Amino acid sequence: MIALSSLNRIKTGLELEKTVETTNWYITGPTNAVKLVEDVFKIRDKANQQFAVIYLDNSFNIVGLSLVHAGTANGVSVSMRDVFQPALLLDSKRIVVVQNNPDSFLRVTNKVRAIKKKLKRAERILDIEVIDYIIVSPFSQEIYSLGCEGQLN
Amino acid sequence: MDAYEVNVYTTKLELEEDIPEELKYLVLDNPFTICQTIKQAYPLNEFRDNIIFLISLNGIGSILGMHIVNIGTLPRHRYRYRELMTKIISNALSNNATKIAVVHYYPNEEYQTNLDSKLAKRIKNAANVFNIRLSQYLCMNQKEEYMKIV
Repeated sequence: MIALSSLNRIKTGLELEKTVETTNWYITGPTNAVKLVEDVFKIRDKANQQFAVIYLDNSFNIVGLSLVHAGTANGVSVSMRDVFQPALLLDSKRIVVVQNNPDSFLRVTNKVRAIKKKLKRAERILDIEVIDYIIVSPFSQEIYSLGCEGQLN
Repeated sequence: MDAYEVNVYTTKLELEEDIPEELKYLVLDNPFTICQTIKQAYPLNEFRDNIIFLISLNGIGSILGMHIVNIGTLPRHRYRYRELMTKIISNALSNNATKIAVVHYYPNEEYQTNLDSKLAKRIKNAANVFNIRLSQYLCMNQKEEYMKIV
């Protein structure tokens, strides 16, 4: 972000950080969503909790990717503003979120449930669908998809 | 398989130059200034319908953007309420607003305060999810009389 004095008129935009090459150009399921995030951010091996978002259009084509928040080893504070602002600017209609859990195995903690609740509330207001919330852990090569487990609603 | 390029973004803030000079450093912290600003920006006398204006503000209350979010009577159905809410929050977020002011302009003098209170409450709750504060909700008429709802 560029720091500006509070009196200056500002507008929000997106800065292109990098362009990565991938063979995934649309999301077919949680496995390839995680593969894409792993290729770009390598969040599974990070020591702190990170929260990445894949922005998709109506046809599930990837329109952008962003590492929204990085927290501490056992928690990450996620602001809905930061998750959904890029979606509006990219004209994305669907999002997939991927979070790592460095201090634990794959499980749905109370913190995850709280974030999910906030995501669902924001989804209803902005009409941008959260199609999956995936958890990865360094202790397992498996992934936990709340969407596939029917825990997203 | 062909390689495909995916863009990785971070949010950034840029200088906005298209806001008129006279509005640039105006701090909209009271109902009177808000009504005056709307009057300056839009030809209110030409409007025959009820209009809801949204003003996106930064933390100190200066303007980041102004939008018309609804023309006509207030929505009475749930799905239309949702549409209106989506429009308000999308515009505010796109302008990076941390505060918003909403003004309901009535071409006549018959305020529907119960509907406005209901709408203000819904906007307030929706905005809270995105860390945006509804700083003012006003009803105003052609005679520039205003009524503060929030």
